[in-house]
Amino acid sequence: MEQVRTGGRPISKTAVNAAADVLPLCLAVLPWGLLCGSLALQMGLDVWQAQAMSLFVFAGAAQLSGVTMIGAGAGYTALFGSTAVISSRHMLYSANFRQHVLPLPLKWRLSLGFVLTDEMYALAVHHNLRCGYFDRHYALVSGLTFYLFWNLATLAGIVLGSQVSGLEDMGFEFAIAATFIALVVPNVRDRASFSCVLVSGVSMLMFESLGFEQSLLAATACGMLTGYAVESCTHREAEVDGERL
Amino acid sequence: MIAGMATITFTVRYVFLARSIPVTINPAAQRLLTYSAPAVLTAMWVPIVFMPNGELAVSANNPSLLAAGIAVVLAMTRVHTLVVVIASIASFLLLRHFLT
Repeated sequence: MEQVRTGGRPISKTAVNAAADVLPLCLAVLPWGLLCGSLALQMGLDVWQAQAMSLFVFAGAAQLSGVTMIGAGAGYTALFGSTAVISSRHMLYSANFRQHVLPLPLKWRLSLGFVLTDEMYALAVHHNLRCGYFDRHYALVSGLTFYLFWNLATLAGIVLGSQVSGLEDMGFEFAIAATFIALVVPNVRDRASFSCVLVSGVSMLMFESLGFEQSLLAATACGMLTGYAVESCTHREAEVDGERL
Repeated sequence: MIAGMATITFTVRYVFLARSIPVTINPAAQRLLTYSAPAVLTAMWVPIVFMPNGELAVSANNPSLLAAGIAVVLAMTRVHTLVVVIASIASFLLLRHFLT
């Protein structure tokens, strides 16, 4: 049986590991950061507002859609509504982390909450599986490194301004797809996780083709429920087999 | 406007990390939540790959589909994430150059 580690690794080593693991994700997100900075200026935000977006909002998809909406003159209700819908997936991450983070002091809970992104969450969950415990230093360092890169990329986008136009053609969307594939595939270990991924993907394509507005949330729900159901069935089969023996 | 957006993005992240929220997540919900990362991330990458122009494009002429195939295979071989990301982006750019 594999030995379960109970912690006690030097923090510096954890920090280096976390930074190394998050680096490829930082690179893939650089063009998004550039775009966020440059687009914000084009949409009429000033330099400080553009940087403040990345410093305080710190959410790629929500920021891009937000500055586009601000540029289009959208009202507060539409802007905040769209931000809430795009960001709501983070509540799932927050809920899953609750068991690990709740016993930590307030400063840890606030900082881990602030740097909780898709990327940091996926890395921390993977690290958790590998080591058998939740490593707050690993989560914080990977989150902060990502935050730093995101803001530097935004700054570069602000400095370069309109020179980055045409970046949409540089395949920056595919960079995100590549990152997410690299994060998902190694964690598909059994029938349940495979079904979850399959149903989430197929249902997303269906919802998108139908032009359904809440496609991301709906597809996520389909995927999660499928994973859960298949896992339950697998357990039941295992129990029945056990009784037969 | 920025303050409002920041409040929203922080709130959805912090909500379940707050002690003041009297919720206990039962084991069933906890098990359901383990599927959140693969479900969300897949629902985000699949449209980029299969619907690059907003319409379903399942053909050998779709560079993102071919490059995603390369990414999946590479990720299955457990090479470093950096290699998966860089190699698949490079193949995407190359494929797009030659296919269009």
